Amino acid sequence: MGFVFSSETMVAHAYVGLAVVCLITLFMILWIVFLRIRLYLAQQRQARFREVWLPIFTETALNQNCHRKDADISVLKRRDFFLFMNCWLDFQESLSGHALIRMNGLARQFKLHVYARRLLQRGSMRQRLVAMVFLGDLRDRFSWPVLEELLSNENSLLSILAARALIKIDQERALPIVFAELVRREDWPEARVAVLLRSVLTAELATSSLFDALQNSTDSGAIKLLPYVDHMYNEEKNRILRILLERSNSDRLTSRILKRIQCGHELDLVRHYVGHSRWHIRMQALAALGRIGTREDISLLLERLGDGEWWVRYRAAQALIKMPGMTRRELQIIHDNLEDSFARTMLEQTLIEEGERQ
Amino acid sequence: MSQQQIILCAEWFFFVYFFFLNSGYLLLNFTASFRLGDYLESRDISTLPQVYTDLEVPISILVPAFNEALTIENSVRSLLQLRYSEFEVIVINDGSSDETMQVLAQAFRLKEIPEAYRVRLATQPVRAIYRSLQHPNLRVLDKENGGKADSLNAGINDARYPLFCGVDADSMLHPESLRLLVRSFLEDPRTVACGGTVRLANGCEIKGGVLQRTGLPGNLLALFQIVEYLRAFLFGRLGWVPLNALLIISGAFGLFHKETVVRAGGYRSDVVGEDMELVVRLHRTLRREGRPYRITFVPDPVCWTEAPVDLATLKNQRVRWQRGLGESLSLNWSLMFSRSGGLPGWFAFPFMMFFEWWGPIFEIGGYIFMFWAYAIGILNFEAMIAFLLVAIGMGVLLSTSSLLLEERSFHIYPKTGQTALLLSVAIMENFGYRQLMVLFRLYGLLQSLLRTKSRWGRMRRQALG
Repeated sequence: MGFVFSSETMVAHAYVGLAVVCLITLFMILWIVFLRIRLYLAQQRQARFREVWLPIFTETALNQNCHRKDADISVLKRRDFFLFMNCWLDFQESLSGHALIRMNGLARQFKLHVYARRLLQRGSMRQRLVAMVFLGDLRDRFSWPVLEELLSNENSLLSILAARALIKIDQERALPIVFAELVRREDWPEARVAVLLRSVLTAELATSSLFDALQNSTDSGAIKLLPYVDHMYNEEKNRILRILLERSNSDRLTSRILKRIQCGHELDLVRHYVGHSRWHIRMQALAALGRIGTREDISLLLERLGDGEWWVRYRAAQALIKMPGMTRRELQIIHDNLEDSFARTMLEQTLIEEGERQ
Repeated sequence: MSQQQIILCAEWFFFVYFFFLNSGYLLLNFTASFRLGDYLESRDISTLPQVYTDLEVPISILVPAFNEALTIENSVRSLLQLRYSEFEVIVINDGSSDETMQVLAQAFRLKEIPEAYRVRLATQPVRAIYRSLQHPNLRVLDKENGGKADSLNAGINDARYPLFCGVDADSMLHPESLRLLVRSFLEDPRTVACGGTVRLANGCEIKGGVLQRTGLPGNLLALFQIVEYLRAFLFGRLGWVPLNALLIISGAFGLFHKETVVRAGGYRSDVVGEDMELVVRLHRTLRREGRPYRITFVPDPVCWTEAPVDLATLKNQRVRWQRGLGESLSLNWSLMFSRSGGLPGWFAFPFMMFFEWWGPIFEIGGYIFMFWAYAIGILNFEAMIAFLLVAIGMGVLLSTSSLLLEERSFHIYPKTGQTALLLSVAIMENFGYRQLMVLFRLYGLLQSLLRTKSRWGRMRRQALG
């Protein structure tokens, strides 16, 4: 009787397997060492670069007469171009006005816009992303056709950043196409788009294009555009919210509109939703009443204080406390007269929370 | 069947087992590597200027605590410092017999409130609900003892927000942890749960519940566990994400969609591994209902916890984990090879069952079989050594690959000396430590078969920071 795996062939195979495993392990160890050395060298290079260039950036940004035309162009080596772009982006983030124009001048002096355009076409994914942000912040109009093409790229990261860059370059021209793309795309994550777009949108230019886009959109399109209405001027914002609320066939859209209502003109409309069959719509309507309601709404709120849904009762109690001229004594009387124990406990809890907040 | 045929079958069985086990791990490593690449690339965009918005979904953080007087204050303080637009912290005191409640009351100026508490999941009675006068977003539930799962269910009942995050009272979260985890929910509305990477805080410098500087411990047992955690989280979990077949989200830190969990029945209080059982059950119920969903994982180190530094505590921990795994799988058998099971039912579940749950039997069995064959002279010494070395070599390879993933991504341990130490530990752990862990797991497996009553896992610990 023998052990099959004792055969010389199998043992030889085991040793070959072991050798392969050892070689792969060794390769990975060497890779780790390589990564470590590369990281160390990159950190050293970055530190040296920052030491030289941050004072130049500061001088450029602060000194009105300085365009650093005298800066020695050979100081910026080609291999440092990408590093320059990253540092430049970090630095100019907090700048505005003339300082920003001077920083743009500095970047253009080194022909970095040409380099970035090339990266945009042929770089790695990270390089393309950085190049896009860079060209956007540089307001590089020559990149417009490429960026517009990238806006419809199937890669959502590229397309979102293309949208941001286009808005930076020419907001008036970009917004209609960006909003159209936003409505069309299913892959643009709502939060990420909001984070990127909100930092560049201004009321002056966003208002009219957003108003038009919302007016012509479907319910699902309006849901996507709604997070940006806060960038509109108040009058137009309230008007479009009213239009959307009146024509909405989607509970989700209705709920989101109610969440944004701040204007007393919509009071009648809001009251209409306090008795809605969907609890989250009732809840948002009550929260809106807390913001814009009058003492006439007290009876409505008391009714909802006994709602079957906890959140609806909670918002009703909060709204009740916020009613104009409502005093602690009056609330205590309301509390004492409540027959529903759920409503009483909720008002009690909200009163304590409010008291602690004050 | 002759004796020789039996031996031949056993030989092939162990060989095939070893082959599939290591192939599975290598495959996971491979998918994890790609997933990590994609993740890091997508993360680059997040380093751009951010404006935090009302799109961040509010989160309820649930902290079950049982006899945590030593650590609870720092843990809660660290949670209150999290950077997130809207969140509440709910500490659930599970009938502690030490000063947990008093420490909380004193440290956070608690005041009893008449909260309208909704019982959606059945739990032990809640004695009182307190609110902090210092921190409006901190509440404490004082309830009768019922175990960790029962406490989490009570926390879910009291949670006001659509997402909840279960956190161990002895864990410490990274300030950005909620933002990192919530991104999965924002970017894919199908997401129902998201786990985070847990790292070990032993050897790190911590002040007031906040991690100041990472470091490595002097204790060898803790060092072994650091490499083990890297392996478990960097490819053991991440590798399953592209397949949407992740079966484990650590109880130390995980974010869940509350309504989905409530619909699934909440945490089971009669099991040891309530966290894993819930995730397996979510897969089973959501697949059966045909609802599109995603259970995902964030590789960033978002949660830090203390590792046991003595063998007795380590053994208890591993026995508990193994029992938890066994209970989670055995209570959800119907997921395996079911028509609607998909990759979790046809791949992840059998993998976990054969290689993780029953694995200790086959691994110990393999060692015994080999030594027995050598003892009776049917396996020569050279062959035995060759096979042992291959097994150990594979272990070293897998540990090294997780170190490589770490080096490619997060650089938690910045000093070169630390990387060198971890590399040597990755080799050393294969000579004794891993075999010992297999023995502990075997003991846990036997216990899960005997189904002894579950209880809170205790650990001898010092306050973090």
